[in-house]
Amino acid sequence: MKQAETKVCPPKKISKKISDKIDQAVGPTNSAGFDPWGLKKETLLSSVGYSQWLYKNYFRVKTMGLQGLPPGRCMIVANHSGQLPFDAVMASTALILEAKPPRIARNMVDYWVPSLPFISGLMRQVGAVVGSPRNCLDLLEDDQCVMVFPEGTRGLGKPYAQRYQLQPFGTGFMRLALQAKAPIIPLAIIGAEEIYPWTFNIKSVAKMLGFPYFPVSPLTPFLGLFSAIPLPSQIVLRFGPPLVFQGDPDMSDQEVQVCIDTVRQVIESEIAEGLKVRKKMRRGRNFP
Amino acid sequence: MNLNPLKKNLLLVGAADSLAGILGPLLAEEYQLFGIDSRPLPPTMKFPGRFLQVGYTTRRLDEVFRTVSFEALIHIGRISSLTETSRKERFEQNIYGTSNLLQLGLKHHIKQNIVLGTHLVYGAVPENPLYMREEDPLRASEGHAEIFDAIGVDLETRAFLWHHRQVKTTLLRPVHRIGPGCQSFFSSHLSQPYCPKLLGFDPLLQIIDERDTARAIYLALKNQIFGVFNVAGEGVISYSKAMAFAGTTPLMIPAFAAASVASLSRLMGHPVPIHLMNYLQYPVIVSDQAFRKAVGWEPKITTIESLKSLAPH
Repeated sequence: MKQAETKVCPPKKISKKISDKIDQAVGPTNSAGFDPWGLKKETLLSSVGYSQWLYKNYFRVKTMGLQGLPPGRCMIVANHSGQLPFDAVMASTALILEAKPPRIARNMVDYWVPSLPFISGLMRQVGAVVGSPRNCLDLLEDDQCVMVFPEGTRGLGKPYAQRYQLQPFGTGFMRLALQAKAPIIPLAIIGAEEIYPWTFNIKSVAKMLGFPYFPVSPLTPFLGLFSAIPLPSQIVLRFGPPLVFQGDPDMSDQEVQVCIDTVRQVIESEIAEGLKVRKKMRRGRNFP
Repeated sequence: MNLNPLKKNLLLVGAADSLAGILGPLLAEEYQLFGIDSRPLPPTMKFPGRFLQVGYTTRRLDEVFRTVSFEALIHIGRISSLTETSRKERFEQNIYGTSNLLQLGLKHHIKQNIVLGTHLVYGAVPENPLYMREEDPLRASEGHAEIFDAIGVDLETRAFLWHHRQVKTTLLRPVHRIGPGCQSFFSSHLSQPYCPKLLGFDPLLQIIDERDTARAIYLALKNQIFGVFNVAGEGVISYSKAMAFAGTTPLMIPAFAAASVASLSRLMGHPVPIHLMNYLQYPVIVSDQAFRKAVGWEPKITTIESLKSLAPH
């Protein structure tokens, strides 16, 4: 039978342990091997095969605080940076490799992602879903672990000079968490800011292609595609304790902002702690 | 006039459709069937009841309603844009025809109507939520007016449904129907040795076997449900995987060349209308929870079984 699907070629060796973790994390699938959200176990397995190498050897990710991840529905709220979403990939990999039990992070991607050839199909097959409020609510009501980046492309595309400065958070995620009565897990991602430190945004090209930004390295004329290779910046993931908010999801923006500020403050303090930890790690000291 | 006093009369509109070949025998056990269609009955098809070729807006149709007292009307006869019909003809048969059928039914005291729509009316746009619900807006004609006849059937039925609540009217919106001989967009294309695929895009699909579609209609009839319902088969599948199971070879088309290919495809005899190209790029997935709850719906044919029924060509 012909197989024409967008495929990620499997790395040579995927350990049985990872395979078991994915089996544990993925819910029921239909006869064609898809879960109700379009995730395909085989594609996820191949992708994790690669991402775990990046996780362990390239970005040398250190994950802390995952023991507080509650079972059932939850919303992971993280800072976003690094031009390309390596931070989301590493956080998703951490949830499979290190969470007990392993979880699939349902990344909420931007509306323009389905318009990207090749990428759109792959993202969906590894668990990403278009970040519409309805999808997010449906996922939470299905007891999934949703990962959101309330800074959106403002955070992802920000210049290096603004590293570790959180951009304004949207209010939608908090209203959805209130509506679905889902706990919020703040996540601070430290290290992704330094993956592409010297890129700049060509706004005219971004506008022409319909992208929110178009990062280019000044080294591109000399290095070509090699300039797109990310720097092996060490990444620290700090999951905060679950925050449970209660209230009317239709409360005023001002009232919602109070809740959002709480989440923001936790992420900021976790970032500050994470930066200290990473500094110690660089100096070869033991970290707490 | 009642043809068989022991059985109630049922009018099946679209009796020349391949779905009627499955639905007819299912209904014939309990109903005296009377089938009409604007198309002739295919020579290979045997309709288990009386059949009359008649347009849905003609006066001959009035005569059918005058002479036979129907208990229920099932309309599966929407003319697809894949057929060799003009837009005007499709608009007339689909929109005015549906309205005429429902109004005649009302006049002659039909107690129950079931109209088979399509989930294509939701439109394939990147902003769609993954699971479309019955109350979501119909965006299919945003880019192309060609599909408006399908939306027209939907709107006519919904208008009737709310205006005449004394009649149990059900509008079913099934996902892509699949089955040998089925003339739906995906079924007819997946049955070909080569099937168009937009380069780099692999949308999620939901399919439902024609046998399951017939069961869904039967369940809607027996349970006398009222309202609009999405109907889906077993889960989702990617387009490329569906092609692999159906045994067809993808014919890669760059997205920018889609319009040219759509024009050429009509000349080659297997039309891929431009207004359906979006469905090869973005998914339209529906939630059938309401239908499951209303009639206890559970598809019996798996996605793989259904797709394999299309192969070999």
